[in-house]
Amino acid sequence: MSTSLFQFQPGELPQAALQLRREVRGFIKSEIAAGAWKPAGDFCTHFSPEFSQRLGARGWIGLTWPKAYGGHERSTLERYVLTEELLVAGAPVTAHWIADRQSGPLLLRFGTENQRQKYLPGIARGESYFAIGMSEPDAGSDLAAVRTRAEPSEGGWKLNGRKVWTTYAHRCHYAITLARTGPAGESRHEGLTQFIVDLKAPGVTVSPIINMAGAHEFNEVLFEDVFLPADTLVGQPGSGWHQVTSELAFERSGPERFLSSFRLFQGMLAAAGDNPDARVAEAVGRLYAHLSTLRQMSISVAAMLGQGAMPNFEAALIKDLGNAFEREVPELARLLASTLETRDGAFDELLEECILYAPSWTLRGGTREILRGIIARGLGLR
Amino acid sequence: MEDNLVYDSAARLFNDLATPETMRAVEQRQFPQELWEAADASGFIDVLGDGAGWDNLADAMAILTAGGAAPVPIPISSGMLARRLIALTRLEIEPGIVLAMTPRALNGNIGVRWFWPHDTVGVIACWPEGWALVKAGGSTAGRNYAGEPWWLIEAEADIRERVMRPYPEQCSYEQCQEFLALSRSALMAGAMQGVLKLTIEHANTRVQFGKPLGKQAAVQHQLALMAEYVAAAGVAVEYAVRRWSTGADADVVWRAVASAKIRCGESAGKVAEMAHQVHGAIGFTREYRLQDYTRRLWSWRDEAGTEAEWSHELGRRLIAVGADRLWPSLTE
Repeated sequence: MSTSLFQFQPGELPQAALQLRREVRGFIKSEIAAGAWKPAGDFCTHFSPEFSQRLGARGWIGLTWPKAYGGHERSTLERYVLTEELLVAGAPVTAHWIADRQSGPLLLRFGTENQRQKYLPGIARGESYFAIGMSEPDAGSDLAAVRTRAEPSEGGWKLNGRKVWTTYAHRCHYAITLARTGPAGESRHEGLTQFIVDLKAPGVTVSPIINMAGAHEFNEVLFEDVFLPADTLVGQPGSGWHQVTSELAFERSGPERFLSSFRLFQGMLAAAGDNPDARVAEAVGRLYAHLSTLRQMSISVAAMLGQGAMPNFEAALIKDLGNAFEREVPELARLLASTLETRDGAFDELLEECILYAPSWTLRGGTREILRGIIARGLGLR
Repeated sequence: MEDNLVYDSAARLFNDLATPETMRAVEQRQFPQELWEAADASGFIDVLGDGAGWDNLADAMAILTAGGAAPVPIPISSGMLARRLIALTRLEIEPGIVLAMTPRALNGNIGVRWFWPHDTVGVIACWPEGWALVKAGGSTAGRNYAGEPWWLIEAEADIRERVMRPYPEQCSYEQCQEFLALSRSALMAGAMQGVLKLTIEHANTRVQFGKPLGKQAAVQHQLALMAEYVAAAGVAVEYAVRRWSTGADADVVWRAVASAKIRCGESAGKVAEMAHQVHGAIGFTREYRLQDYTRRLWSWRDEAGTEAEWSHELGRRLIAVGADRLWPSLTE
């Protein structure tokens, strides 16, 4: 008798993951000691090709991929530990993040042998960076509304259209781009196809969209008669929707969905003083309880992913809960700030960053509203 | 905690015997003797045993999770712990006595509240300095939100009668507190699963504005949030049980138990609130089952320390060891 509405199997980290944790901590310590970078931001905000290449040289990108494509054939739980250590340290992981988390696994699952050999080793070396070309002016959460079109052309396809909110397109090499290649059908999910678009190809124009924090991360990407060679098509023509939605658990269950404000939480604790205010102590304990539980949920899903399961429902649950947690940290921090011993301005800087970026956390990778719809369906609401 | 044989057998027994009639009788101060004896005969109350370790902790929590999911109106968690204390100290007690355990001493020795109103009940009162088996007697002094009777003893008046005993090494005061907090957490996790299922069922069958409630986005979002809180509660309990059972350091176990009580307590309030909102007026009746769960959730989240108390102590300890230890302590 299975009585659970969801499955969170206990996930215990193996020895190899604990060993890797020690190595990563040692590496980060030496990087900071050498002044290589200053802890800042989250996985979307700190683009450093040099850092990504150093990680690649250590074998820490494409950790779980086959060795034949430059990977290292290690477990999803080792990857879990690596990513959480990098995020907590505020390491500049943005350059390789999407390629490592999303584009590489997509090519491993749906790509041709040629595509895998062409793209994956460069990603794993930390030299090749990917952006996500999905959102459009009229297609945000409603992805089926994409209007960017690819039409058959001699030796490949011709791409026209416009993508927006394309994070770091100005510095990435490629964008996995979702384009309409046929009629949408009754489900609205047919006729969509994924392509690997070279962002330096003729006809591609990348223009900045400055975010409300004043940073250039977003871009608009315009495609004007961009020629896509036949072997840039990923998977099957018309299967884009299925390909995009089949592996959302990788994207939604990871620690980046609840660690965006971790360093502010740590900053609260650091500034609590020897005689902490009772409200500060209570907030710290409560946040710890939430974070500890979110980690266990995320580790559980990582373990299930390692066993070949694809728990998209549980992942949606983690993301919505995790985003709520990371958004609550700055709200508590601001109310408690007057009782904290914040001397050097670092706390205020962290607080400002969190306050200004928090709105994006519950949007990126699936909005709150979309996630709750997925969860409701998973619960069997008819 | 739900997918094992112990859970299944406990769930079957509880579902058979924790009938609406039993629930109402308890509120009239009638002891559910049949239910208690059946649970006892199945070995549920003795599950913790007297071994050096807490080898059967996972089984105990599976039984308690099933107990919350039924829910059952018997002092099963405190009974488990009381039996372990008695077994470890080889204390002779009257046969058939029902043992209950105070969730905690309030303000040291000023007074304790405990659960159960039977004449043949023995109560184990728990103080940091020691524990005592005292006889329940006199009149009932109150009830929890679920209508389960509580007794109040004034420790000052009772202090002459009780014999303070030292805690055995295998069942320390700290472990008693942890067990009582974790057992309430398991009860809550089970009860919340029950609440969520009941609410989904209601949302799928109740029609308003020409369609089931479950078709309305506003209601779907309530249920999605409920599912998140229920899932988190279950994982928090499972993690604490796993850390305790695998013999992790005392600090690690304590933090995991504290986290479970905090997470479950907070989830309980929110889940109960949203379940009632989705149910509407029918959920506000004594006849409908929702209240058997929610009134217990409101009681259990307060018993053995509220989330505010546990959060405060957990935060105090984390601050004391310093910000540099925060991340290592989460990953231990």
